[in-house]
Formats: sequence, C-alpha cells, structure tokens
Amino acid sequence: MRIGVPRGLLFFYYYPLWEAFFRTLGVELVVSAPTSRPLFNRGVVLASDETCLPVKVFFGHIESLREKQVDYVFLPRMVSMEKRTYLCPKLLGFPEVVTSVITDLPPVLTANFNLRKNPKELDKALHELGKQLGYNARRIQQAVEAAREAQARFEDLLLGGQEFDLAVKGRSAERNTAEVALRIGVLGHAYMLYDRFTSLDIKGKLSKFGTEIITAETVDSGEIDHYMEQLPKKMFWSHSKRILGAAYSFIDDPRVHGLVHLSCFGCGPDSMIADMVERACRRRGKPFMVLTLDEHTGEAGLVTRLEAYVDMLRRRVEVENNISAHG
Amino acid sequence: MKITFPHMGNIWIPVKALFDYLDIEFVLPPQNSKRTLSLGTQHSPEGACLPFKLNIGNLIDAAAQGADTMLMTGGVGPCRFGYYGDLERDILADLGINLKLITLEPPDGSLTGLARRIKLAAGDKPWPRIIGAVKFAYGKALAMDRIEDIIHWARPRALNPRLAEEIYRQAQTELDQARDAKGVDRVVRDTRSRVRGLALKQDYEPLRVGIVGEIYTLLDPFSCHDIERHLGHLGVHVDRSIYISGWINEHVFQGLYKAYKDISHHKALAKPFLNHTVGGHGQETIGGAVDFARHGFDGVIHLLPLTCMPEIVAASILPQVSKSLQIPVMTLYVDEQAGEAGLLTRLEAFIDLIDREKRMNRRISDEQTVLGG
Repeated sequence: MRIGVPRGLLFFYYYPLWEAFFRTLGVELVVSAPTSRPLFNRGVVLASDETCLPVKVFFGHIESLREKQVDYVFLPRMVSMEKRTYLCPKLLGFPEVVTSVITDLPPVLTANFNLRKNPKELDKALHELGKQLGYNARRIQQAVEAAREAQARFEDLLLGGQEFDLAVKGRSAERNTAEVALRIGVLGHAYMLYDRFTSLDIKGKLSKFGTEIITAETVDSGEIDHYMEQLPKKMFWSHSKRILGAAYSFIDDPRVHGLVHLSCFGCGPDSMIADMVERACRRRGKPFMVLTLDEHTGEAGLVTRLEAYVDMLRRRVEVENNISAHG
Repeated sequence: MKITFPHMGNIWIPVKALFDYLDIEFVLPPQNSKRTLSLGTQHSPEGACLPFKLNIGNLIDAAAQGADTMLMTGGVGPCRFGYYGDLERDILADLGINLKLITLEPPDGSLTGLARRIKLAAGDKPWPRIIGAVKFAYGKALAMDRIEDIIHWARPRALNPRLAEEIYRQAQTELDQARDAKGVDRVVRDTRSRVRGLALKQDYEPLRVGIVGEIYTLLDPFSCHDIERHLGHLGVHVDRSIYISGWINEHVFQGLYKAYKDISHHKALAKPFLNHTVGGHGQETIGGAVDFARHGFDGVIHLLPLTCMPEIVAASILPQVSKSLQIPVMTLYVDEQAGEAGLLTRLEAFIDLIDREKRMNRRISDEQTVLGG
C-alpha cells in the first residue's frame, strides 16, 4: 500500500511521527517533491485567492500526488496537539477544503487529532488511522510507540539546534560551533521557515551574510511556558505560543542581536503576534523586522532588505563595543 | 469608573440598557464611520481583520470622551477574536491611552471567575439587580432582532422603501428609550403596526436572499456598506444566519437562553460539507447556507472580512454547497479598501442572475404543465 503525503503545512511539524507510524505498519509513504516553481504556481491557481501563502503552496503539493499512483492521500485533521491550545482554523477544516477544491483525488485518509483536553487522544487518533487501513490493535500499538519515539527524537534534535533537513530524518551531525559576530532570532511558522522555495531561503541568505540563525524550535518548552505565564491572557494557538515565547526569550537574551519575523500575507495568528513582538522589541530597543511574503514577493527586494538589516545590526554591535570608557 | 465598549451594529442598545439599569457610568463611542475606520487602521496591525480596526477606532474615540475601562467578550480560540481585547489594550497603552480591560468570559472555564468579572464591571450592585439588568438588556436584544426582521420584510415590499427606513430609525430610538419590559414589547408591536400601515407593491413576490458569514460584518451595517438596506431597496427580502441575541446567548450565557431564530441546528446541517468546528462561525456559515437552500431561498451571500480564518474555510467549501443544493452563492470580502459603488454593481448583477434563474425555472415548469404529459 502507498500513501501520499504532501510536503507542506503540518509536514514540517509532524512528519517524523507519521513516517515512523506508517513505516512500522509496513506502509510505503510517498512524499511530494520539495516546493518548486511549477508546483508553487499550480497551488496559487488552485487555492482561493484570499487564503495564506502556505495553504496555496500546499494545494500544489496535493495536486502533484495525483500522478504518483497512491492508494490514499494522508490529510489528518490536527485540531489541537497540546492542552488548551488550537492549531490554525484553516487546518481544522482542511480535509473538507481540499476535497471540495480538488475533486478527483485518491481517497483521503484522515483522523481527528484533538489533544486539547486529553493528551491520550494522540494514541486514539493513530489507532483510528491504523484501523481504517485494516491493521490489528497490537500491530498499531507498536507503530504508535515507534511514532512517539521518532517525534520526540525529532523535537530533541531541533531543540539542540539541528538543521531541519537532518532532524526530520532523525539524523544528528556535528554542528559548527565557531563563534560568530551576529546572532539573529528568526521567527515564523515551520512551514514557511523550513520550506526553502516558499521562504525564498531566508535562513540560507542570512547565514551567507555570516550570521548565526536561531529559531523558535531551539527554545525549551519550559522557557516558553515561563514567558507565556506572564501574559494576562493565555495564548491559544500552539504554534504562535512557541513563536511568541521564543521571541520574548530572544529579546531577553543579550547574545541575540536582532529578530526577524518571517510571515506571510493572510496569516491570522501572525497578524496578532507579530504586532505583540514588535511592541516588545520597541520597548526594549531590540532590532526587529517583519518580512511578509506572498506569491508576488521578488527575491531582489528581499535581499536588499536583509542586507540593510544585517548591516544595521553589525554597525550596532561595533558601536556598542567601541564606547569610550571616558564618556 | 467609566466603561466603554466597541460597536457592532445595534448591540449598543442592549448594552446601554444594561448600564442604565445598573446605574453605571459609561461612554457610548460615536457610531462607526469612515473616520473611525481610518483612525483604527492607522493604529492597528496591517493584517488584522476589519472588526479589529473598527474596535480600535471606537476605543480611541471613547477614551477621548473620558472612558477608562473597556468591556469585551472573549473566547479561547481558534478565532483571533479571543485575543482582541488584550492586544487592543496593549496598542492603546503604547499610544498613551490606558484602559482597564474587563473580558466577559469564564477564565479557564471557571464560572466563579466570570461572576467576579461581572462584579468588577457592575460594582457593588446586588446580584438580583444584576440579573434583572441582564434580563432586561437581553429582552431589548431579542426585540431588536424582531424589529430588524420586520424591516427585512418591509423594505422590498414597500412602495416607498424610504418609509421603511424611517420606521426602522424610529424603532431604534424608541427601543433605546424603553424603560421596562412592557415598553420594549410596545416598540415591537408599534413597529409591526406601522409596517402594516405602509403602502405595499401589488402582487409582489420578492426574491429571497440569505446572508451568512462572519458575525461582525453581518451585524454591523457600516462594515458591510449596509448590504441589507441595498438589497431591500433592490426589492429583495433578506434574512441572515445570525442575530444579536444568538451571539449574546452563545458568548455570554453559554447557550442558556433561547435566542431569536436559534441556529444551534446549523452545525448538524453543515456536517456533510464540513464535519468539524473551525472556530468563529465557519461551520454555522455552511449550515446557514444549507438551511437557506432548504427553505427555498433564491440565493446566498457570504460576507467576511479579508483574512478571516474560519470564514475562509467556509468560503472554500461553499461552492460545493452551491453545486449540490443548486443555490447560487456569492462571496464578498470586506476590508478598509472596499468601495460601496463596486459592491452595488455586484449586488445588482447577482440579483439579475438569480432572478433570471427563477423565471427560467418557472417557464420550464409552465411548459411542462401545459405542453408536457
């Protein structure tokens, strides 16, 4: 049996979980190719004009799976993956949105993941998936355990600062620990940040300028919670919670010289939290830049903005190091 | 303490009644206008949705008139409305406007927490009086819904639709001034009899259009360029999926009371098309469209602010509803850039389309009766 997995949206958060689960069951996963120009353009044509960029890209991935002769397309409905939080509303309605736009898809394999009230729902959802494919409970349980383990390892690797491309395969590698002059906290949803084409490889570009990048995934969840507890109202989107908590931690960390928020047009949660981060940065005098991408964003303009930002950071650091002791 | 609250259509009438009953000082911000919107847009995040921007405009206006506390309702996601109050307070604080925020929601689901917040807003008033005030205000919300629906009926049928608008305005003023439950009932009765006294078009059977979508744009005429009035004057009978009492009931009373045109069955109606809640009223939008189709409406209009997450899900699924239930659906996004003239053109085109379709169907069925068999 072959199951198609679109390389977009939740792939960037939960692929190791799915991969280990299906592999243990003996199911072959067919992942769509990394985002490319033709795939991107197809997605933009298929999706609603007013929706956000990653959703548009996702449609391109889904459509590309049609030619791959898969028995199912995997479209889980991930409602909540953590207590008292939700994922984005668009993800909550995703199976229906996809099937109403692309009508000639192979059958959709789906289950509801709602861990809002009870973390045990994860097992339940995975069991439901396994049952739909006709496996017995014992075999499924093995797969569930393998899945949990793979996901935990993936998250640990990211926490340790491992590159996404390696971490998603469960691989660890020596990291270059050479001291760099500039460290930038790059914020954004994983499906923007780690999709090279969609994000116009912002991470790679910043690295090329000789800066070190740290992302929200490297901030430990205890620290995130510490910052979230100081908010008068609980943040109810789990991804935004991580981004916001990481932002506050970067602001407090003198080793982080500036923050870049990579957002996309039409992102609801980002419209709120990018503003909160900006306010916090302004209060604390931390350099901050928002990059809002859409399907019309040109690469040249982006490079100019990044260069200017990095130059500005560099000058700040030099000036800070050159303050005369005599006043 | 001087309380204020942002506008949303006629909701100021019941909220004002609540404060008056409890003898609480409050500031009613000026009605939504282009000025409110540009003031709000200037100080809001660019990507925020339209209602947020109007809220900011209202709150800045209210603060200028001496308000020091803002009253909001909340939610725990996933619609961003749940975070409106907190972000609005922060934005205003950065502008040097310090408003205390009271969010009427059960914090972490705790009803005693909700009670504490109500007390915070109501001061030292005894509970029976607070409950009396809430009942009275809710009575006004129900009456407002009835009045709006009477006007929905009157607009397309009146020979002079302007007279219907006059009756509407008069009803708003009278309802605002009603001092007790009897007075509230009287306003509804009077409005009904005034409408009965209107000169009506002869043998006119109006097209019927149902409006579904995001609550704020549905209830607030400014944010949707008063689409209901435009449709009414084009000779269309309008109904909508959500009325104020339904919203209050759901957000504040947690579904305890009976609302006008209750929509609790809409989730079930949405099931074949959208099997899960998506926050806001996304699922109710689908259910509402199904409901209108089943009740023989001629078309559905879907209203939403640009970038609204729950409604974008609904907007992507509505074409499916339209196809399988054979009902025309038009989606209208609104934001601070939208212009009224463009909207009117689209409304006229839509009405022409559904009118033609209706006449075609009638002709086909006439042919079948006369020539068929």
